[in-house]
Amino acid sequence: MTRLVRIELLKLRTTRLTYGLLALAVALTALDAVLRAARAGHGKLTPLSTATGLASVLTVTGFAMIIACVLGVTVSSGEFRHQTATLTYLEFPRRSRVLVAKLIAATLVGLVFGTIGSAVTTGIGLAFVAGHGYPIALAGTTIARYAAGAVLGAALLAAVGVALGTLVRAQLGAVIGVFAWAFFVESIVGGLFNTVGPYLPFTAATTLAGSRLGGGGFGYSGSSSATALLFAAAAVLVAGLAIVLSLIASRTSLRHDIAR
Amino acid sequence: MLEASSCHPGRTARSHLRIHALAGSTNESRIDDVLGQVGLDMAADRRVGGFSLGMRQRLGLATALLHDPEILILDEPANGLDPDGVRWLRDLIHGLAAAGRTVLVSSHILAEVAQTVDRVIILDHGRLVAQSTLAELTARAGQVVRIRTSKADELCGLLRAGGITAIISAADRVETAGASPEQIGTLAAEHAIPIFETTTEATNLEEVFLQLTAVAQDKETTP
Repeated sequence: MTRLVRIELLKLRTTRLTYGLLALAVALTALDAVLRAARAGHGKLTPLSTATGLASVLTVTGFAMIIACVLGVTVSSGEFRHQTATLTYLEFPRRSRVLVAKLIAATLVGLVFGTIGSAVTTGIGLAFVAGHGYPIALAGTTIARYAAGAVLGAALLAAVGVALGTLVRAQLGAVIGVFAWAFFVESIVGGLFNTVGPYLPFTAATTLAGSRLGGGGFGYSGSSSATALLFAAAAVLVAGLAIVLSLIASRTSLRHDIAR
Repeated sequence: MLEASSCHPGRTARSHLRIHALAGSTNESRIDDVLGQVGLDMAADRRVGGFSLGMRQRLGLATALLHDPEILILDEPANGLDPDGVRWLRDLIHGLAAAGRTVLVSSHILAEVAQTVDRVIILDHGRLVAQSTLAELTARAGQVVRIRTSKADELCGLLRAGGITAIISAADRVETAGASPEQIGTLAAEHAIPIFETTTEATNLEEVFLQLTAVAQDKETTP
């Protein structure tokens, strides 16, 4: 298994797409954080001198998480897009082991995405705070918890992406699906069914990173009547989704022939 | 070896081989060896997406050679190779065979195969039609023997009755396959058929293939 994971990591290291997605995650996260930090204190938005205001910048790691999920999708569906699956499965005929290796590898790379994402938001948030000469309104442990949540959220969503890509195989469709789900489906469903909102996967993942419901800019941007899931519950929910999707894939699409 | 399209276009040839070296627990030092062996050493660090069909074919071969296998199975290896490349491939296969490896080439380009192989297996619609050395096969299918005679009809009938494939190709000419000139001459003498000329022509693999698969199809259609 170690060798399989090493192979998957080597595959990720030797394609430009990985670096491109990482750069995209950094760029979008930085843009989001800079805009929020610049607008904080204007209009209804709370200033960076308050805990809420600072948190609204530090927790916008949603883009890093979504892009990590997209990376996960490419890890599995890319094998079909580029017809490398034939060779991979010839070398390792037990496809479920390959899937597990991909889940592990994507999770590890997801950790990197989450780490870099939270480093970007924290760096930008604190830089703006310092620029204004405010005291830092959040405790160090709180900031660390947000970062840890972003890292975990991105890692788990990357695994969800692998499972999804295995299930769907059509890379473009799966990537569009991820974005459509995150940007539209969750906000529509969450908006209509407030009690369901917190349980939607992207919303749950962003709450891991400390994003308040409606404050993260992702997923369900809903109402005050719903409460965000607890950290552990959100983590279990997203991890559970990855496992359930993987199990479904291993019973269905993973067994299908590889069309050439 | 698989069709060479089985590589990620964004990866370099070297990266592709590194992945498969790791997959087969082969030392990475083999990579430069096989790249040299297939003549891709200059393109090692270029992305596969920019490769020509022939280059991909070479990379596919390099992948197959990576683990130094005892048996190589090559499917249409000459695909996309230029004439130089085809000759190079032939030499490579000969070299591997000479080094004691078994190389199984599956191909539709029979003229090319005939220059490379020692033994032939002919499959038709999934059925084994023939399996022997190349020399045996062409000998067994026999030379084509062309005969000029004044009694073409009679000779043709006799040959067919004797189970020899024969056709009347012109008024005074019979073409046969699967029989030696001696056999035909003896048969003609026994029936007092004059023969003015016989010419023999060795069949090539392509003709053998067509003959054998045609026979196989006849058998299929006749109940």
